[in-house]
Amino acid sequence: MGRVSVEGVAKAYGPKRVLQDLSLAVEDGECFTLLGPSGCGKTVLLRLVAGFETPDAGEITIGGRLVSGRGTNVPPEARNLGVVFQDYAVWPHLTVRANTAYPLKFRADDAPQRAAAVQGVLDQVGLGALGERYPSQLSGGQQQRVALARALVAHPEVLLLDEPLSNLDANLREEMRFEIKDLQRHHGATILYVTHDQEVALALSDRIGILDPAGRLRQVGTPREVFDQPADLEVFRFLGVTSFVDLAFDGDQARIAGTPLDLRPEGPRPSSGALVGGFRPMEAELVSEGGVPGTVKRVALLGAVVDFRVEVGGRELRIQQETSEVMRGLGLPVEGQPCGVRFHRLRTFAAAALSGGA
Amino acid sequence: MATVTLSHVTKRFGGVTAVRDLGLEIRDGECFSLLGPSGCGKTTTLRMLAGFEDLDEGEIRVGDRVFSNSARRYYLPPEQRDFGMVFQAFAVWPHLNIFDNVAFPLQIKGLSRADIQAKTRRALADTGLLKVQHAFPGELSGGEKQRIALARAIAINPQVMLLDEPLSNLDPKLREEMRFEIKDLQRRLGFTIVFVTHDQAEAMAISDRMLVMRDGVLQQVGSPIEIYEKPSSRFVFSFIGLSNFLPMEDRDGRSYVQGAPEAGPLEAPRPTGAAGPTWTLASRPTHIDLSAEGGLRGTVLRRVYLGEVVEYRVRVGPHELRIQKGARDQVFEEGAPVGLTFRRCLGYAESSES
Amino acid sequence: MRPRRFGTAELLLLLSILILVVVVAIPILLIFWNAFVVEGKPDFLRALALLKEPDTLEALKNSLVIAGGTTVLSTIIGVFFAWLVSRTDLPYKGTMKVLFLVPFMLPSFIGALAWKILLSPRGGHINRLLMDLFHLEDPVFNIMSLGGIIAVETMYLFPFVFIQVSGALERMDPTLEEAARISGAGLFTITRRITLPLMMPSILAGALLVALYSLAHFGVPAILGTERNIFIIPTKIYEKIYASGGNFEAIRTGTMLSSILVLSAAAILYIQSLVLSSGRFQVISGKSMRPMVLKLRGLKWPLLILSVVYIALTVVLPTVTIFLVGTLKTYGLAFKLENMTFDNFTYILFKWELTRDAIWNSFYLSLSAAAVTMLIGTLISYVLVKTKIRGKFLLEFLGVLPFSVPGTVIALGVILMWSGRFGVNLYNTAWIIFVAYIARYMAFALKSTSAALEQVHDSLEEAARACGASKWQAMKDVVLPLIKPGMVAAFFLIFLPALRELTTSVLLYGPHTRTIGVAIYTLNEDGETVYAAALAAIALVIIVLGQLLIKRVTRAKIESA
Repeated sequence: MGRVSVEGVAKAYGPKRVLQDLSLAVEDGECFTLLGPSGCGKTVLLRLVAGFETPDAGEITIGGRLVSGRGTNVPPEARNLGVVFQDYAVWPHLTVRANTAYPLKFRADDAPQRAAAVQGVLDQVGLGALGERYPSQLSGGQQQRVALARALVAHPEVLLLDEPLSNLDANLREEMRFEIKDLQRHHGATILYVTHDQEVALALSDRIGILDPAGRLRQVGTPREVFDQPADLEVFRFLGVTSFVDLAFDGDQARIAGTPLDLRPEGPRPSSGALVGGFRPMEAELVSEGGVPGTVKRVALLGAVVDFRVEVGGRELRIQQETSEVMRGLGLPVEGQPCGVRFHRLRTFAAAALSGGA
Repeated sequence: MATVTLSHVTKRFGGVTAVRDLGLEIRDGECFSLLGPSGCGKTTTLRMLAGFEDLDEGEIRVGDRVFSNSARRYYLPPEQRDFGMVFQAFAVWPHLNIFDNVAFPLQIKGLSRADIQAKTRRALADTGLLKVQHAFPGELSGGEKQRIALARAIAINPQVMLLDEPLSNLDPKLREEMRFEIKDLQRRLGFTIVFVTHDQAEAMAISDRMLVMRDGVLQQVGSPIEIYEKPSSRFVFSFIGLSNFLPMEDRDGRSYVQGAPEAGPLEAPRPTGAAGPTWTLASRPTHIDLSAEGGLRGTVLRRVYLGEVVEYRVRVGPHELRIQKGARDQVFEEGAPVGLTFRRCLGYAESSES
Repeated sequence: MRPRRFGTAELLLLLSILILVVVVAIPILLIFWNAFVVEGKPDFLRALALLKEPDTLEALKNSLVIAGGTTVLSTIIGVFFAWLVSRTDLPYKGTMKVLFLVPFMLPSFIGALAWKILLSPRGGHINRLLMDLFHLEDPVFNIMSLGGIIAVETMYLFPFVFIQVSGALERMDPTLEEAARISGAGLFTITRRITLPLMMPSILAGALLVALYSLAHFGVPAILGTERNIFIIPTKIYEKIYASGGNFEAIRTGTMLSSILVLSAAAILYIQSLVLSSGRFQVISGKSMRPMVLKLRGLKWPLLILSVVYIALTVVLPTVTIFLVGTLKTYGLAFKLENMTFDNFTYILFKWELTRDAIWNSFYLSLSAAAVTMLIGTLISYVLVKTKIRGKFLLEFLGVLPFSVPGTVIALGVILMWSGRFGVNLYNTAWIIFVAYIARYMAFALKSTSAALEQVHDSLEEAARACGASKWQAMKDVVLPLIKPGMVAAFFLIFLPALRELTTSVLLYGPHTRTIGVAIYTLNEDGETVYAAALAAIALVIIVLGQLLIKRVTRAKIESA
C-alpha cells in the first residue's frame, strides 16, 4: 500500500557525494523519521522520494510501484504524494480554501465532492472557519496547517514532511506534533519525516533512521531502541548530551581511576584497546560520601535541574540532577569543591572511537 | 563603591506606563538580572540606567552620586556615566578593526598612546582576542563579535557593566560558553553586572540575585534558588519554569479539584500560601508522582517518549497536567486511569491573577 | 552518466542570448569597431588623433568639469537634506521627505528650458527684473554657462544622493551610535567617527549615480550650452552626426567619443560594485528603534524655511514659468491676463500635426517598448533565476551590459546596425527608436523581473508539482500570478521614462517620428519658445497624471495580494 522502499540510492552534486548506497524501507502506515545534522543528506533523500531530483544510482519504490531507477523516472505530479515543506510553501495569491483544493483539480471528482473534501480536511486541522482568508492574514502555525491540509486532501498514500516545525515556537511545535500524530492515525498515511530536531523525532516516530554527516545510515529502530541501545558511539553521542569516562576492567570489576564501581557497565567488552564508559547527564549523581572522586568545575542552576561540570580522571563530565533533590541532599556545591560521583548507568565503547569521527 | 540604587522610578511612553514605581538596590560586585517577558519594562529600566532615557519620576544613584533625578530634571548624559555596555546585536563598528573598536572609549578619554595600547591589549587578552586584533568584525562569527563588545566595555575598567540581552543572538552551545566567560570576567575584574534577559534559565544560571518584572511592576527579588523554590505569585511560578495549576476548593476540611469531584480529595496537607475556600495548586512536572492506585484520580491522555524522560499529559476533570518521569520508571498507557501524588507543591490565593 | 538532453531550458537560454546579442551586444560592438577599426585593420592611433582635435578635447574637458561639479554639489546638498530629514527634529519631516523627491519627477531638460527663460543673460525675466530694479548694466545671472549647467543638473539630480543617504540613515542600527555614546563620545565625535564613515557607501552610491547620469545627459547641456558653443560629449556627438550628414570622419569621432563614454560609465559602475560589495557596512537593523535625533532648537524654523524655499525655487518656480509662458500669445509680452490664452494648448493638442504626432508617437512607442521589453525581460530573468544550466554567466554579462551604456551611445550603435548594414534599414522610421528603447531599458526590466522571480521560492513550484501539476501548469498557476506585480512594475519603470526622454530619440528622429522630448527641444531650437513651453506644460501634466496612476495601481495590487 503505502510502503516506501529505497535501495542502493546514491546522489552526488559535482564532486560532493551526498548519499552513497543508501537503503531503507518505510512500512505501510508507519511514521518514520530520518534524523541527522544539517548537510547530512536527509532532505536530499526526501526530494528523491518526492521526485524533485533523480538518483544517480539505485531504485525507489512507492506502494509497490517503481518510481525511480532502471530507466524509469515518474515525475512528482504522478507519484500521488503529499508534501509539506519547511517554509510551508503556501501560495500567497490563493485563499486557504483554494490552496487546499488545488490537488483535487487533477482528480476526477465533481464539484460538490471536492467542496466537501476540502471543508472536511480544513475542519480536521482546525481551520474550518478560515477558508476565505489569505495566507498573509494567518500566523505561522496556521499556515503550516494549511500546508498539512493541502497535503492530505487527496488522500495520498505517503506523506513527506521536510522539517515542517522548525519555524514555529516551542509551544506551537508541541501542539503541532500532536496534531500530526492524530492526523496520521486518522488518515492511515505513511509518513516520512525529515528533521535535525531529536525531541521531535523521539516524540513522533514509530521508527527512526539516524544519518551521519557523510550520508550513511547508522541505525534504524524505535525511539527507545535508538536512544537506549545505540548501535555505536556516534549514534550515542548524537542523541542528547553525553559524557565519557575512562574505564578499566579487573576481570569483571569495573574501575574508574582506580575506584571500583558497584554497577556493571553494559555493552560489548573487546579484549584489546582502551575503553570508555558513556552516560547521559541524569544517569549519574553527585554524592557527599563515596563514589568516584572528582572536582566540581561549574555549577549552573537551570531551573528544574542543576547542571554540573565535574572533572573526573582528566575528563569533563556533565551531570544533571533535579534541583529540589540537590537542595535537600548535599546542597549546592561550590566551584572547585571536591565531590564524589555515583554512576547509575554506563555503556562501554572503544576509546579509539571517541577521538575519531565527528 | 558601585552600588546601584533606583528609587521610585517611573517611566511612561504616551499613555503606557512602561516602568511603575520601581525601587531596588544592586550591591557592589554582584551579578544582578532583570528578568521578564518582552514588554515588561526591563530594557527600559536598563536604558534609564544608561542614561538613554529620562525618568518621569524617581532617582537613580550609583554609589553616592546622583545620575538621574526627575524632580530636579538632572540627567548625567550617557557619555559621562563611565559604564560598560553590551548590546543585543553587539553594536560592533564594522569600519574599524578590532583593536580600534576596543580602543575607542580609551581614545575618547584622551589617554596617552602608551596607556591606550596597554589597556586595549589587556582587554583583548582578557577576552581571548589578541590574535585577531587586526581583523575586521565582518570576518568574525557572532560569538567573537560579542567578545569584541565585551572587550570594548571592560577596556575602561568600569565599575558597572550593563548587558542588554547580550546572548540571545547566539546559538545555544555558545550561549552557555559565554555565560561562563562573563562570570569569569566579573570574578577577575570585580565589576557589578546588571543583566537583562527574557530567558529564565539564563538568569538563574548567571545571577547572584535577580528580579522578575511584569508590565512594568516588580514581582519578586531574590537569589535564583529563592525565586525557584518560593515564587511569590502564580505569575512568577509559571514564568520561572514549566508549571501545572489546578484550581482547588475546600469542603469538609479537605481540598478537592474544582470541576472534578470524581478525582477525589487531595491526600497531602494544604500547602502554605493557600488561603480561602478556593485556591490554586501549583506544581512542577517533575514533582508529581504517578501510580496505579491512590492519589488524585485522572486519565492518561498522551504519553511522549523524549529520550531521557517520558512526558505525560494527564486529564483531571476538565484540567490537563504535564508530568515528567524518567525513562526507566513505570510506564502508563494512553487512556489508562492513574493516580497523582504531589511530592511538592505550592498554593496561591485565587485572587492572585490568572 | 545520464545523456544530456537538449531540453526547453537550453532552448530558452539560446533564445535569450540571441535576443540580447542582437538588441544590445552588436550595437555596442559596432561602436567600438567603427571607432578603432579603419579599413579592416585596428588603428588606435587614428582614433586617438581625433581626440586631440581642439573641439573634441574641449568637449571632454567640459564633460568632466560638469560631471564633477554636479556630483560634488549634489552630494553636499543631498547629504545635508538627508541628514536634516532623518536625524533632526525638523517639523513636517514627512512632507519634506516627499517634497524633496519631486525634482525626480520633472524632466531636467524642461527645467533647463524654464531656467533659460528666467535667467538667460539677454532676455531672462529675472535678470531683466533685477536690472530694472537695481539699474544695472549687466545681467546678474548667466545660466548659459558651465556654472549654469551644473546648477540646473544639480537641482534635478541631488535626489539620487538624498534617497540613498536618508534611507541608510533611517535603517541604520541605532545601537551603533549608542555604543559610541556610552563609550564617552559626544554627538560631534559620533557623527565624525561613526555615522559618516558608515554612511560612506550610500553617499558614494548616490554620488556615482549622479556622475553616471550627468556624463550621459543630453538635454540640459543642449539647451543651455550649445548656443554658447559649450559642448559635452553627448551634445558633441549629436553635433557631429547632424552637422556632418553622414560624413565618415564625423561618425568616427562620434563613435570614438561614445567609446570613451562607455568606458567611463563602465568604470563608474565597477567602482560602485566594489564599494557596495565590500560587505563591511552591513548596518541595517531589524528592530525599529528611534535613532539619535539632534534638537535644532533655534535653527528649527529657519532651516524649515530654507528647505521650503529651496523646493519652491527649484520646483515651483520653473513649473509656474513653463505654464505661464505657455499661455502667452507671443513671447516677450508681459504676464498680463490680456496677453494670455489657452489657445496654444488646444493648438498643440488638436490642431498642429507636428505636436499631435509627437504626442502620439511618444505614447505608442513607450507603451509598446515597455510591453515588449517587459516580456523579453521576464523570459530572460526566468532563465537567469530559475534554470541551472551552464552558460548562464554569458547571459548575466549581456544583461548587465545595457546598464553601462548611455542613451546616446545606444542610439549611435542602433544607427550603425540598422541602417542597411545587415540588409535591414530602419533609419528614420519609428522602428529604430523602438529598438533603441528596448536596448536602453532592458536592464531595468531585468532588474525588476529578476527580483520578482527571486521572491518566488522553488518550494512554491515544487508544492504545486507534488499536488499533481505538471511543470507548465505549476508555472501558470503559481509563478505567473506571483510575478505579475513585478512585471507591472517593470512596465511602468520603462513606460514613464521612455515617454519623457530626449537623449536617445534626439539622434534617431525623422520628419514624422518625433517624440515629445524631441518636439520640445526642436521647437526651442527654432525659437518657438511659447510653443515649446506649452508642449512642456502638457508633458508635465501627462507625467504627473502617469505617476499618480501608477501609485494608485501599485497600491491596489499590494492591497489585493
